Formats: sequence, structure tokens, C-alpha cells
Amino acid sequence: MSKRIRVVMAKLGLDGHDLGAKMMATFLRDAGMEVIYTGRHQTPDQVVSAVIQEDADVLGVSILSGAHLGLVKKLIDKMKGREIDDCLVIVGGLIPKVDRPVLKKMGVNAIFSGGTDIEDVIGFITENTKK
Amino acid sequence: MEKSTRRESIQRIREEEKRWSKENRIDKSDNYSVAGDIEIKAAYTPADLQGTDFLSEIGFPGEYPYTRGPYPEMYRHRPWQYSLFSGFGSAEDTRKRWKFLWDTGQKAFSVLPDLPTHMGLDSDDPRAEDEVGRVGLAIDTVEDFEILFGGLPLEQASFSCNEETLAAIIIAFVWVAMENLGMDPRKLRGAISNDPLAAVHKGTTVLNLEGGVRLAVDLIEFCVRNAPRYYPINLKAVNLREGGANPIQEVAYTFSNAICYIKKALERGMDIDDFAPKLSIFFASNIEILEEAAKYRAARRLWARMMKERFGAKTPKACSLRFTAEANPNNMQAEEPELNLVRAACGAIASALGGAQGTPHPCYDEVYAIPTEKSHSLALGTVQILAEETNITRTADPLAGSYYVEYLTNEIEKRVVKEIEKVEEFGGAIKSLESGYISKTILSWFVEEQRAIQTGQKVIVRRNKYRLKHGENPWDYLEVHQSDPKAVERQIKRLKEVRRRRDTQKWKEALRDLRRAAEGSENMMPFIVEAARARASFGEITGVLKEVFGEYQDLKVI
Repeated sequence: MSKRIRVVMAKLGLDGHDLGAKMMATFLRDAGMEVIYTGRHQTPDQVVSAVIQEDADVLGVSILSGAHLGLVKKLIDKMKGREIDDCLVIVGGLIPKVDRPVLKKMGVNAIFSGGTDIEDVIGFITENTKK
Repeated sequence: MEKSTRRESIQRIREEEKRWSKENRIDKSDNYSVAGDIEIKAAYTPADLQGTDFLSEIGFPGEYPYTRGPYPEMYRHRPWQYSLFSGFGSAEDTRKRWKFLWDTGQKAFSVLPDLPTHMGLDSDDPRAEDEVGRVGLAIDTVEDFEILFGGLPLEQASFSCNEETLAAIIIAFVWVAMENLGMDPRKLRGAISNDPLAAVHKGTTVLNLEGGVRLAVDLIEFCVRNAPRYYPINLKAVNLREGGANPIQEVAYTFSNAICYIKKALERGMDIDDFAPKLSIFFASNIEILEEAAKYRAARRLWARMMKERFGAKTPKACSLRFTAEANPNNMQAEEPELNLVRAACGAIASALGGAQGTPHPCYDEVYAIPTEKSHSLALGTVQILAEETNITRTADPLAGSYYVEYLTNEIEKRVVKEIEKVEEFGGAIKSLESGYISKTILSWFVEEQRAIQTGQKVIVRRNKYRLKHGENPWDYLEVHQSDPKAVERQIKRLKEVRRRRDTQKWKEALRDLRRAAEGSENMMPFIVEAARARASFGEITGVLKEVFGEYQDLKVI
């Protein structure tokens, strides 16, 4: 029997709009994954701690305020600093096209903007979990 | 005699309805439900309003129970107030847009603070990095308001602000800025959110809920005494709606929050007839025009009954609910965004038919950008056309007497009453928020709605039906507002300059006095005003309050 995929879903930064994150968490849970929601206003340090504590296979980060470039950079640097290399990083929210290659280059595995089909997200996670 | 004739005629209508339904096979057709779970028939008749008494339940506009509006003539001589808000970058940027709106016919200045200000962080706080002036206006000290208001005809206009938890600090800053600019703050008009309980749904709760509620009631008391034309609380029902709630949940949980503030105000000896006229609500109007209009009629009737029967209010102003209503930005879509002009207009029609006093209208592009001058002009023009071209303003409550709308009004009111009772069983608004009951109830409704969108059962034009064959991916042309690094730099420099110039002794004393007031039971507002005079920053004042009351811990409910 295969292990259930563990997902940490996080709201990074000061943006409090968490409906998308909570909805995604609910859908992933319904798809059989184990989902831990961090709550809002998480700093990069807090998110990295959650990933380690929960031994997450996937980290979902939701940002709608436009502050994604700065915040995700800090997050990825901290993850590298703690030598986390077996966790998929997915960013969701309002991410303009021009920022996507920048985030990918930082080490983000996938970016899903609003209006994404839930099945696409589930498909991506099941095909790409590294453990 | 008259009554029995009426009963016979209702009986007749029922029989005829059965016949009509059978002949047209309506009993076999699909059922629809609206506003959550109200099942809707193909047509309504007087039989559906049996038991509804015109004089005591519908009545006349401007009279109890205010189902038809707070004023006898409603919009006949003066339409609702245009109150679009804006806020981005620093005070200079926002003032420019305000000036544009003023020149285009809006006599209200309405501001949205940035996220650091919502959370009580100064612009130079490390946690505010990347977020200063991005989705709203950065506010650090009184000086920001002096720049924002400078040269604007504030005394002829109203000032409104979307700040939920730390509204008291905003008003203190505005107070001192007006004094310094030679204006009389006691004449201040407008409204401020000041609703830390609704902030839970937007993620802008800063202080623990008990502390936040005390600060909110302090501001209500201060304004009732010192700025009698100001609405010191504009309960943020819209936060619930944007947080996924259905209309029943929106009204019920907003009223539960109102009950909490009212009780606290009464506990400190305030008179219901003094402060109830200064309570208002900021609702969201979804695209479903008739349900939303009925919602407003139900809300006004229930509010009047609650004020009179539960809280013993005696004056008309204390019993009649006034509210602003914004077309719900949640209804805006990224696919072919110009269609949002139509969606928002539907919401504004609902607000007008429902009798709103103000319409902060959303811009068609705000789902993915900070509105441009052009998109603000289109939004303002939309509500101006509705108010001044369509004639829907010529008679009060034009939907009254519609069998369907009256039936919906009754049904919505009944369901709201039930949901308020559930919150009361939990021990009131604070307990049901802290236990996660409210978040869970809203989320489960929202997830159900999202499933209906995913399966296509609920139609979103261009997204899940009638998609453009060769349409671009809407998210590809998304442009996120970039905060101007120069504006951020200027903002931080200004803050540091204020800190350097201020009288350190006076500043220390003001914050010490504020702490003492917060630890005791005095009204904190005069002390916050003093701190503002001593040029204490937004973050410093919040810091004192956080230390005394404790910070809010976000729920991790899903």
C-alpha cells in the first residue's frame, strides 16, 4: 500500500484572502491526500518549519497580494538553507505570466493561477511527488 | 366577513394553481433553489403571501418596520452616494485619484489601506517588506493624512475607510490631521469599517477578539460624543460574502456581530437610542438581482424588530437600518474582463432596488489589477447612469408587492433568524468565531458552490460555458500592480524623518498613558489621539495594544 501524499498548504505574507487555499486544501483532501493548513500570515521561516515538522511531500503556497517574487525567493532560500530537496513547491494565486519563469528559476515546480481545473492540480501532484 | 372572503379567494387561487401546474406539467419540471436553499416555484401568487400583513410587515417607506427603506421618499430627490474607494502607493498617488473621482462627480473620499496598515505594521517593519503600498495606501503617521487631505475639500465631502481592526488609530490620525490643516474634525462625515469580528473572514484581525471589540466600541462611543455625523462602525458583511458566504450567512453572522457590539456598548451604560442610529452595514450584492434585493428588505425588517423588541430602541433612527452595498467583487472574472462591467451593474441594480444608501462600485479589472483612471471612470459612470438615467429612483421600493420578492423576503428573514439563534446557542459571535463554527459553515457552502462551477451546473459565462474558441488564457495578460519602489522609499524616509523630529519625551509619555488606559477600563480613544499628536506611528500604537490585549491567533480550520 502506498503512503498517502502529505501536503502543507500555506498562506505566505500579509495577504489574508485564504478562500482559494482552503478550497484547494479541501479538494486535495477529498482526493485522498493528507493536508495540513498553516493558517494565514505565515513568514517564510514558519512555513519552512511546518514543512519539516510535517515531513511534507508537497508545499502549496497561496499569495494574492502581488508580493510573490520577494516572498517566494525568501522561502526557497530558507528551504535550501535547511537542505529540503524532496518537497514539491507549488505556488497559487495571482501570478502574472512574466513572473512565472522567474519563480520557476527560483525552484518552484508549478504555478497555478485562478480558474485552474482542480483535476490538473491533483494530476500534477500525483505524477510528480518525489518520495 | 371580509376575512372569510379573503380565505375563500386564497383557497380558489390554490386550486387554480394546482390545475395550472398539472396542465402545464410544471410539477414534473426541475426544481431550482436560490439564496442557499430556498426552493423556487415557476410562479408566485397571493396564496404564497397568506399571513403577510401589509401594514405591519411591509408598510410605508420610512416607517416601522422599514422593510421599504429608511426614508419616506428614498431616492426621489437624492440618489444614493457614489462612494468608490481607491488607495495605492503613497498619499500623493491616492490623492491624485481622489481628485479625479471628485472632478467626475463623487463627493466622497474613500480609502483602502495597504496590508501592513491593516495589520498594524509600519512601512519599515521587516514583515511589511514587499507589501508597502501594494494593494492599498501606506499609512504610518499623521503626516500621511496631512498630505492626503491637503488641498481637498474634505469639509464638503465624506471620508470613508476600509480598516477593520485598527479603525480607532485611523480616526485618531484623521482627527489630528484635520486639526493641523485648520478643519474641524467634529464635523467629520463618512463611515469606517471598525469591525474586528468581520476581519476574521478577511484575515485582517490583529488583536485578540475581546480586545478588538473593546477598541471598536471605544471608537463608537468617542464618535457618538464628539463627531455625531460620523458612522463609526460600518459592519463588514462584504468580508463574509467575499469569504464565500451565501446571503443568509452574510446577514445572520453580520447581525450576530452587531449584537455583540451592541451588548458591549449597553454594558458600559450607553443608550441604545444614542448609538444605534450610528450603526451601519456594508453589504455585498451578488449578481442574483432579485434575491439580493429581497435580502436587503428582509435585513431592514429584521433589524427594526431586533432593535425595538430586543434592545428596546424607541426612535425611528435607531430602528431603521442604513447600509452601503457593493456589487460583489467575487463575481468578477478574468475571462473577457469587460463582461465584469455587466456583472457589476447587475449587483448595483440589486443594491438600488434594495434601497442602499451608498454604492462603492467595483472596477471591471480589479480581479487582476489596481484599477486605472479609465476603469474607475467606467465604474463611477455605471452607478451614475443607474441613478440618473434609468428612472428606477422615481418611486421607493419598486419591488414591493411582487409575490415572488415578498415571498423571498419572508423566507430569507426566517432563515436568518434561525442562523442567528444557532450563533446565540454557541454563546454569541466571539465564541462561534473562535470555535471555527462560522468558518466551517461558510467553507462547506463555498466548496459546494465551487463543485457546481467545476461540473458546469452553475454557469459562469466564458469560464465554464460559451468559452471563446480562440481566447487567450486570461491569466496570461494579468498585470499585477507593482508598488513603485520610489514611493516605498519616500514613505520609509518620511516615517524615519517624523521619528527623528518628534519630541521623544512627549512621545514616550503618550504611549505610556495609552498603555495605562488599555490596561484599565477607560475609553482609549483620547489617548490614541494624544499619541497621534505626539507623532507616534501606526505600528507603535498597535504595538502597545498588542502587548496589552494579545495578538489574534488565526484558525487553521478547513
